[in-house]
Amino acid sequence: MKYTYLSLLALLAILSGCADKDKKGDGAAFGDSTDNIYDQALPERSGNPDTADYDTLKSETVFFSYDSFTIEAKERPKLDKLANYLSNNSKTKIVIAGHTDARGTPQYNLALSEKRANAVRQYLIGLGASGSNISTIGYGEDRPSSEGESDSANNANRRAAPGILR
Amino acid sequence: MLLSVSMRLILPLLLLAPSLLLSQDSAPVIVIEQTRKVDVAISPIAGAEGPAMTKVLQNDLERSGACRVVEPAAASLTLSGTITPAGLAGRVLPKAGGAPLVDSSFNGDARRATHQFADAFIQALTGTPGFASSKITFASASGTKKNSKKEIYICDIDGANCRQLTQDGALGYGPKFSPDGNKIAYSSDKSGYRDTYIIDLSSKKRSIVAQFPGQNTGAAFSPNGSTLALSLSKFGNPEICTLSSSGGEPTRLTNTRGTDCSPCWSPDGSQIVYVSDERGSPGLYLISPTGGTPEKLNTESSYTTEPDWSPDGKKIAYSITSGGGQIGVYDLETKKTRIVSRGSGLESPSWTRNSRHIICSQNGTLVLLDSLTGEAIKVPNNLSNNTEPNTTR
Repeated sequence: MKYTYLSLLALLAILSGCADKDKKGDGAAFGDSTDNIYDQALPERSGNPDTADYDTLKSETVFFSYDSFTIEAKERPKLDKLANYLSNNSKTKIVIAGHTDARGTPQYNLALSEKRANAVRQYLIGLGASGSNISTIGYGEDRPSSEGESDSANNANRRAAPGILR
Repeated sequence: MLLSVSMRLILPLLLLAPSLLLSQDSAPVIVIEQTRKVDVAISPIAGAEGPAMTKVLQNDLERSGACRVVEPAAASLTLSGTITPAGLAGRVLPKAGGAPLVDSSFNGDARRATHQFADAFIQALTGTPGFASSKITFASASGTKKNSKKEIYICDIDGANCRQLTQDGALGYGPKFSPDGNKIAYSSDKSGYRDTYIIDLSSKKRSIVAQFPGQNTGAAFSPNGSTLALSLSKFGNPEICTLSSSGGEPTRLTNTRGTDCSPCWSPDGSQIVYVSDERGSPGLYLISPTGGTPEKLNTESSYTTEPDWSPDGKKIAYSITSGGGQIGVYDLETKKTRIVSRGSGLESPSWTRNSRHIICSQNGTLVLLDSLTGEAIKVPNNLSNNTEPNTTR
């Protein structure tokens, strides 16, 4: 219990530290809101998410609960692996592609899927990954991995998939 | 001639105070209850395109919700018209005699002129603008489910003149008209990332207006057309921002850890309603276009998105996902909500000019929903998977 609490503090410290770093690195501090620890300004664009390689890192796809962008404890080992991959491949640029299931409306699903991708990116930054190598895109409900609206299809579709940009 | 001139001067005054009309004039029923229909007849429109335009007019009148087309003997008003080289000359005469309710020429092709005649009549009858001459823009998907493409389309509000505007071969979303109806803002991942584009319908040119890192979606024009409100994630999080409609640097309005999207302006431009899930499931919030503290609207439903502010400023329509897909309306004066649709699968409401009818999609089909009666009429086209309709004001 105590251990978890300390880890959380450590993570928050890392996150706020990175926010400062990103703010300088990005060069364009924005408005007066840059002290928000949830802000991890996105990098300039690179590559094309549409043609990224989503196969190599497929087993690191993170799944989400309905209408949630919380990264659940059971998904975190995948992100440890992904952070490790990124530190071993420091030149590789990746995109996190967020998705929703078929329920909900188009704009909110686009934003929620983007938010899922943002949450994964922030978590990776918290683990020490370089934010400038991680882009995001949200595809809403329009790139399902599984068709239909069964529970199993919905569970499979609520995901954030890492792709290698080329 | 004199009569016609005096009528033109008096009519607008009478419409402002419709209850005076009965006492001051011998004309038949002009004032209607909100859902009461006036019985009208249409004399066949003269001219080569007359028969087709008679049908167009009848359809417009029936969809207006304000009148019912009946046999001449049962009608209290009769519409007649002649197709001319310039358009249509239309006239509406009360059965009881007296001055015509409408006696004007309408320019444009026969169909357009006929819609304008219908709108002039509805305006004269109800004091509220008609929407027969409005247009709809929407996205329509094709291809396989896993690799679909969504292109942007435009059609008349009765479904006619359907045209594909984009050939992006990408996922296009959320087309929204400018206030004058001459431009459409939408987002597409044509470049690989989701950018916001503006299509100029008169010059047929498209420009890119927002291509910041992350998503650039849900752009909505301010009432004067000069500013866009949209959802940007360049900060690492989808936030509501404003941006000049000619581009440039955005101004950030929201600062939450949640998902903020779907902004829509109040008609007077003083507020923006948008969706946020910062307190759990998505709900509606109001914020000033200059920022500040958002105010949550209590819609009494747990999952509400896609707000659209009515042209009269009094109501906000939205989608209720928690009910299987219904349309709700929030009354800003009474702070009460109402579900105005029947059935399921409805989403993406867009008010028409009269602040009564709503264009929305229902299971991939465009429909015209009467928010007073719950009746939904199809807007026919040959496409499937029609989403996110938006209508001109």
